Amino acid sequence: MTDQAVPEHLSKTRNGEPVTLLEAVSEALFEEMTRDESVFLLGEDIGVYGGAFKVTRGFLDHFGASRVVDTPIAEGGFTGAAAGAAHAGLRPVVEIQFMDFISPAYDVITNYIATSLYRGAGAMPLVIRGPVGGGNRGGPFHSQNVEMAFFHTPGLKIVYPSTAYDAKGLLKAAIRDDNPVLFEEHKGLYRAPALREVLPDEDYVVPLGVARTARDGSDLTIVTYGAMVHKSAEAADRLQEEDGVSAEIIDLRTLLPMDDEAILSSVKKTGRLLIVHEDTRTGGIAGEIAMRVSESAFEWLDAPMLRVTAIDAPVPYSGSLEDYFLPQTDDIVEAARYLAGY
Amino acid sequence: MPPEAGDGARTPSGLPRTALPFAGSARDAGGSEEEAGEGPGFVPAEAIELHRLLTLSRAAESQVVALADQGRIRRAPDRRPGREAGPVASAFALRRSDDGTGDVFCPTFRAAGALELFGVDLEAFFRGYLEGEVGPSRDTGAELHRVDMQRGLLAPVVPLGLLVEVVGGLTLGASMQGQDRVGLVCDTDGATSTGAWHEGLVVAAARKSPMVLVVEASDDPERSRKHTRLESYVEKGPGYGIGVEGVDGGDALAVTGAVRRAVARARAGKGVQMVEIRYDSTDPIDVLRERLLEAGATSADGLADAEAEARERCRAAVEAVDAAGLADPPSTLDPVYVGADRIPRRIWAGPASPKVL
Repeated sequence: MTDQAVPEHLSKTRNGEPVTLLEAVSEALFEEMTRDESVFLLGEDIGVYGGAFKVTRGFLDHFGASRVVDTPIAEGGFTGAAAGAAHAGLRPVVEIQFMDFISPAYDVITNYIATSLYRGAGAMPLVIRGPVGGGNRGGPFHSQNVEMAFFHTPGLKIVYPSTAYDAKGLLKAAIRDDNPVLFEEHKGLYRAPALREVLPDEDYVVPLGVARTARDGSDLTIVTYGAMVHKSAEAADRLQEEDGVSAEIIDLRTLLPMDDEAILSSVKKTGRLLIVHEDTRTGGIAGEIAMRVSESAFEWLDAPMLRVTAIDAPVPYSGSLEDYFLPQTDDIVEAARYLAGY
Repeated sequence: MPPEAGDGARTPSGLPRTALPFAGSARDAGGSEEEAGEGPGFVPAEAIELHRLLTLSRAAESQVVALADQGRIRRAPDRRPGREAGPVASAFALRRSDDGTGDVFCPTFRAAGALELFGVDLEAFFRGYLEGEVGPSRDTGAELHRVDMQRGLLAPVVPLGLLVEVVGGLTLGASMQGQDRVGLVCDTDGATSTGAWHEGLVVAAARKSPMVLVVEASDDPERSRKHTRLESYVEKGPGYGIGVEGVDGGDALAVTGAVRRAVARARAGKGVQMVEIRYDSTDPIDVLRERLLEAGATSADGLADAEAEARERCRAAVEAVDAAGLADPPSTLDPVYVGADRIPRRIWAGPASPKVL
């Protein structure tokens, strides 16, 4: 480290102040780099500029250029370099400036990183993190969700937090994990005022692979993650208020490996399942969840399983089109009412 | 020193040494000859060992071809005799250690002599083709793709160019830990067409990573035309700001010298280096044999004994792999995640399926 003082903007939790989800991510990175010298960062413009979303603002001054590595615009090149650094015993954290740009690294992630342990080439403890998601009028190249491009790759873990608490705890757990982890951060949640919260001042992790019950309910189960947790919560409020329907919300937090037990126990309680994801419909995670429930809890179902998702199209740029493209609270309410009355 | 374009030097077989454009630019991008140091020249004991390793590579390759002819392996042979010097002499030029401090070597496929220098015995080599049970990878397809960071071996993967990305980061990581390990990646010229090779080189060159790329150029100009309109791959070097050198693949000692110079420049902080190896019809084993006999370093009988021994070792290794039997499938399905249970194989996934293993 070149400067031992913790920057003020990274001291909010220590000072008892609330943090946004973005600030929670920054604190997680900062604390893990402080705790473990083998943790270092690679990415585009993460040094002097502090990253496109300023997640790493102040890191260069504090940790120095050897641990905050500004890279050329070569996602495959620097993600592959992270794999090499992991071979050398380090724990790299790669920032993809927008996860839409991860495609050049698909080769090294799926062919090299995810297969490393199975090939006998050793563990690959690295994290690939970055912003995802729509609703910000970013258009087709700054709004995608990439989880399903990697979901069928054995050897990877995929994490997608919905709260500041989870973002910090899950990222710290991901960095300490000996497996490669893809960590998606919804940019619409980064600075959402409603998500600001005071986090514990002690070191904590949220274990990977464990879902949480975001809302207790008895009439139907909504399985979701990321930004859709909050739209589902809005829908659940309306269902309770307008229809007297009690919806339980399961926030997956980790998509791979998935917490089957949390999903199944809720479905067995409510008998009805609605899956909500912001990702597009065909080949979306809803299909996999429905299949697992069909395999293991078919007898408990009282209604067909339904899904609310984005439509099968690239993410549009126009605001009116994007709102139509993305799942909205009204869509969730409508589907839930159908299920509740089935 | 790197041969200058048109310097008139000739190979031991009498062919003109490949005159490579930009061949002198190693000094521009990678430091002076004095800084890098020359190779040690002809050292009889080294030359004898190099001959043994070249001979072993050729014998192993002949054995693989025989196994393919017998229908015992499906992988088509693709390394023609006469091209052993690239990986073998490259491995020979590196600093080797089994304590995690030596250089890192990424060979092309089918380089038994080079692999032996980095701790892969012949049984392991043939196990990669014959699907035998015993070995660190438990026959998960990994014997050919083995990684041993203690010895510094990063064996090849099929997606070409990826190891340029990986080794750039590996040497960066080693540097961050105060180590002076150099990483060397051998690739055939086709790899230079991939995005991974380019991106890996961009990142490593920008960081001045201590990495050496060995590019084995095709001896067929028409085949090369698939990959580049350039006369030589070293012409790519200036665009990346890296040191370059070209060398004749028919002369294993010359390859060793060129790679040693490149490794020395990389270790001295001069950044990424590239060595292009050009093959013609010259047989590097014949050339080295002639050189050893001319120097009186050994006898014709001694060399013949070494070549016979290599063939016998390959035959015995195949027998040992055959005797070990095949891998047991359930035992190979566990290590997909660190800390996870083995992956259950489900014929169907009902909760009470009798076929869940």
